[in-house]
Amino acid sequence: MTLQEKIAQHRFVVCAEIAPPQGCDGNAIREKVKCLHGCVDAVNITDNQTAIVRLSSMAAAKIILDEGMEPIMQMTCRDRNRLAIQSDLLGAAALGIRNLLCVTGDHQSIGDQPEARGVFDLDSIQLIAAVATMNSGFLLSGTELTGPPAYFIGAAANPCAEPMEMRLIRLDKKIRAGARFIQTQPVFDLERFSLWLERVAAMGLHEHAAILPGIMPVRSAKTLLWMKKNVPGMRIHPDCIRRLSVARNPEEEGLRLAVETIDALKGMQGVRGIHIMPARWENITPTLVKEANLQPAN
Amino acid sequence: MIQPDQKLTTAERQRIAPVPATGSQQKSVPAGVRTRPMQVPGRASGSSGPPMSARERRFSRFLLFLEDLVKVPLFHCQHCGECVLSSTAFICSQNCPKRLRNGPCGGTREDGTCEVYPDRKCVWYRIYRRSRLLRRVQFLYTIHPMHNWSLEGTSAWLNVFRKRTAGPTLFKGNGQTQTRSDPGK
Repeated sequence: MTLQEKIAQHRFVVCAEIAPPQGCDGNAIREKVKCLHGCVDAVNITDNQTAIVRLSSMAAAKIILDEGMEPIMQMTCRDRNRLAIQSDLLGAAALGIRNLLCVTGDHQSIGDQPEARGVFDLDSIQLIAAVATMNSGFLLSGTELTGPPAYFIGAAANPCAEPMEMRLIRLDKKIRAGARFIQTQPVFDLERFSLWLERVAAMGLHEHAAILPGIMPVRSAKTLLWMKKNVPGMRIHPDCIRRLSVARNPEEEGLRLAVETIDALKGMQGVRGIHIMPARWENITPTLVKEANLQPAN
Repeated sequence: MIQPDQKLTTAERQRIAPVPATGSQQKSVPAGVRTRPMQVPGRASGSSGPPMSARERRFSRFLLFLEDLVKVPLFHCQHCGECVLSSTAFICSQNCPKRLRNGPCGGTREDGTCEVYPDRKCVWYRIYRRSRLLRRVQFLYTIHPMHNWSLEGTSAWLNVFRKRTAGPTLFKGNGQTQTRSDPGK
């Protein structure tokens, strides 16, 4: 059963994110995916996240597909113009990739090659509209496609960034353009997230797209402090930092924090799954899924 | 200027007068389909517009000069040629480092500053604040089509007049605005 069918049937889905290696060793991806077998529904592959060059997300998605898992390919607008985007989308569809997460992409200045030229020909909403156009059988030029793709389109949302109403307007636009699942930035502030979710439900957006909140298990309070300072748009509740900094075993506490967050999110109306994004701690995902009783229903 | 009797290569000739799409390509496209993606949100209306004639370009440059007198000091105009000022509460969204036309990226910091320039307020944060002030929030729901980059550096006024781009949405009653009350998909 594909991710799209699971979401259509209102099953609670679990996605995990992995970052492709900075090298051409495909086995590194295979090893990362091996431990995710049977514990997550789909695997997100980042596309040069934080503007640092990594193995292409399309190639990594193909490797994951061959391993018998379902990939969600991420595509940013930073590195491609509309011609490259359409050609890559056709190629990825031919390889059997069905799920696509459309994001604008981090600005190149926060990466390790800030002198690069950013493209940003489209933004994420226009990218979603472009994929929807291709799904309906046409290129952006109006040329009819022989064998159109059938992408399941996703988008990102940041529930914690200011101003909240502008974020909701943008989410509304993404869903109107064709996004059918929404993966959010990691939740470290449940109060704020539930407020956001209430507003989303009030606008009726959760009926048109599945909301999958992000969960980031962290190893130490230092990571949280670093993120608070360096990752723009991140909102971290002071309690989380306090809990981790006083804990005798911060790794265990970080895991418990993630499990508690998942438990709280599970009970919220409109949450249709979980998106686990372990930054540099990818082998924790199976443990976290087990601890939080998130075994996918296959 | 190229003299009529001068011998031109095919590429040069195409540059001067673009050859219409070849017959084989047009046959595969049923009539009326070329306009179909243009109705999709995110697609520029008339973006396959012809390059301007030399005369029109001269006129465009003259108009751009007049436009600059107003738009550069007031809005820091970036000459995108497809003006969206009326729906962004008269703050030019093209001052965003990513040149986003549809709203802020996920990188706005807690105090509303830009992820690229921490000393600067996010353009979209300012647009939202002023939209609240001017009661123009409903215009933020408009999905702006993909930018027609061939209009870069041309006069937006002329482009509206020649129907290459949609006109400004100054008041509520204009059909260009899509608000939440519209049946969304």
